[in-house]
Amino acid sequence: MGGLAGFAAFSLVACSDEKTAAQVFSSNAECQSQAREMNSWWSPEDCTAAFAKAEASHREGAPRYDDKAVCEDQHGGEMCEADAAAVPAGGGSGIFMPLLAGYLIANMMGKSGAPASSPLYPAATGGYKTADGKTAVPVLKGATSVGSSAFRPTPPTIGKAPMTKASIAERGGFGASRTTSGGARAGG
Amino acid sequence: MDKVSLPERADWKKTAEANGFQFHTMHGEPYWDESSAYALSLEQIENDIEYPAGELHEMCREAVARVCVSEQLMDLLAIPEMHRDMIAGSFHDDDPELYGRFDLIYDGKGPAKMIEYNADTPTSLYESASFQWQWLEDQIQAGILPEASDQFNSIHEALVRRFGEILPKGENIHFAALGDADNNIEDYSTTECLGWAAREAGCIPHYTDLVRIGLTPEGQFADSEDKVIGTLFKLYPWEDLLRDDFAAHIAGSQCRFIEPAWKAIMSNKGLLPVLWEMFEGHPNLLASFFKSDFDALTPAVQRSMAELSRGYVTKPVFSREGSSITITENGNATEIAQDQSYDENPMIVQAYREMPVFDGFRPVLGAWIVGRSCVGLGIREDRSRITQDLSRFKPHFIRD
Repeated sequence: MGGLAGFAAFSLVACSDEKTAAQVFSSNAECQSQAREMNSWWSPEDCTAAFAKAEASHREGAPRYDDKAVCEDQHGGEMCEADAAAVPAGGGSGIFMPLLAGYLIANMMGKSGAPASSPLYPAATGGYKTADGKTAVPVLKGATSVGSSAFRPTPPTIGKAPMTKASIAERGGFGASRTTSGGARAGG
Repeated sequence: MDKVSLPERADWKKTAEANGFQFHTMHGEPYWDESSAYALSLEQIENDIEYPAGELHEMCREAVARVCVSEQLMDLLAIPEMHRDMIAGSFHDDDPELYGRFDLIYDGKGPAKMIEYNADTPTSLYESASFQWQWLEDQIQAGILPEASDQFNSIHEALVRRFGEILPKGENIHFAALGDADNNIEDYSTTECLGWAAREAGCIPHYTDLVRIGLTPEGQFADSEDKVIGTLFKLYPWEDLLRDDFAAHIAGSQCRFIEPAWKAIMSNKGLLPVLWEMFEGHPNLLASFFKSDFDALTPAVQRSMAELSRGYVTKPVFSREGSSITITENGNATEIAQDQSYDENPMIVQAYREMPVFDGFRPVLGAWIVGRSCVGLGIREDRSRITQDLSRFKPHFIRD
């Protein structure tokens, strides 16, 4: 039976999203060296495990585009590469994904084992974002606070039809509500 | 079936607002009203709501099949000629349906009577699927309702399952309605509730304002960020889509529509006379006729004359929220909806069934269909005999 589904289907940064303390790294080595410092809650083993997990979710669920230009539109110039998983025998690929720039880790309350982790991608507008684009951090270092949804697994994109960007010929051809003479709602 | 007074949860408004259910009060009137609730037995739910609604859906499918092969019926349902092949094709290809809501008159005793089937753009989904269930859990926990109380409500789970059947995991799906959370919260909340179920099924939901949808030079639809739309859930009725400027591009858009195009027939009130013609006397149907047949006093109309002479309802083939409905009793129009915004459309006539009155209010039972099964119940009630958008949503529970 349905629990309270909550109201964050499209906007995961809604106020009901619980905040979690997280750490941002650009590489496993960065993480390792800081793990040896005083008072860090993560260990070098955590770094390796978290980085492996982030790399796996990058392979499975990175944003994928049908065109390099579309990818660069979202992630910036020189920030995209061909999807190795989609390269056909004859070489060349029609699918592009952003570079894995860094990763977020968090010690989720009440969870044992390796910390939660999530890959981060460059954003064309500056800063870095998670695969779903809903969590952003300004730089690839330091402590931050993010919604726990930043660590929610993203649906796989590998082997799926990539996102395409269309040039638009015309807009606004739906919504005239011609069978009714007024009213702003369509449902009932 | 009874209406019982219950203490309200002290913090329900806060809970509602924290979950985005801001329209619990509208136009200064309560919309969500838990000062009382409807209590039904399991037998009533199963035998009078769940099974009949499932059967009605199958009957509606048979009626759609019949309309698909009849130009004459397509005319009576005001389906634009240029889209008939696309609509019949979508039914022939078995394009899957997602959800719908039967509106039923029921007093706990005789068979429930179908008033209409909102098979295309039903709303009140969040309060039915989610907030109502939260109410039950809270009231059991508070000891207000007995531990063994239940609710006819697996709407959310059924939607997750259904999205999983319709769409492969990882598929992008766009949800569109008129406006957004700021100016059309009721429609937006229903799409958001569906978006949540789609996400749980492994799909990637996006939202776009319907009027911001664009057309690419290749004839595909694109969202407000210019991303091509592969699957579109639209909380906007097919009869309007088919009359919009982009209508001619639908067939070639390579876009999967949810609901599918054949819902233009199933959600059309012209289906009611088709159902009556196919299943005359069925216990869950009210006698219904196209206005032209009614005026011509056809033999079928004469067979139902006893029922019709007590009273009948005239309503357009397209309309929602009780708009443009007239009730005629003993030859006099006794109730006319204030909102007449659909009155230029073709009309049907349906035998009037007096609604039961509980404590001054008349309930209409919304039986939710997901896929082809009835999976839940949401009750709205109104002081007036025409349920309009100022009605109240009432929670229900099953006691045994």
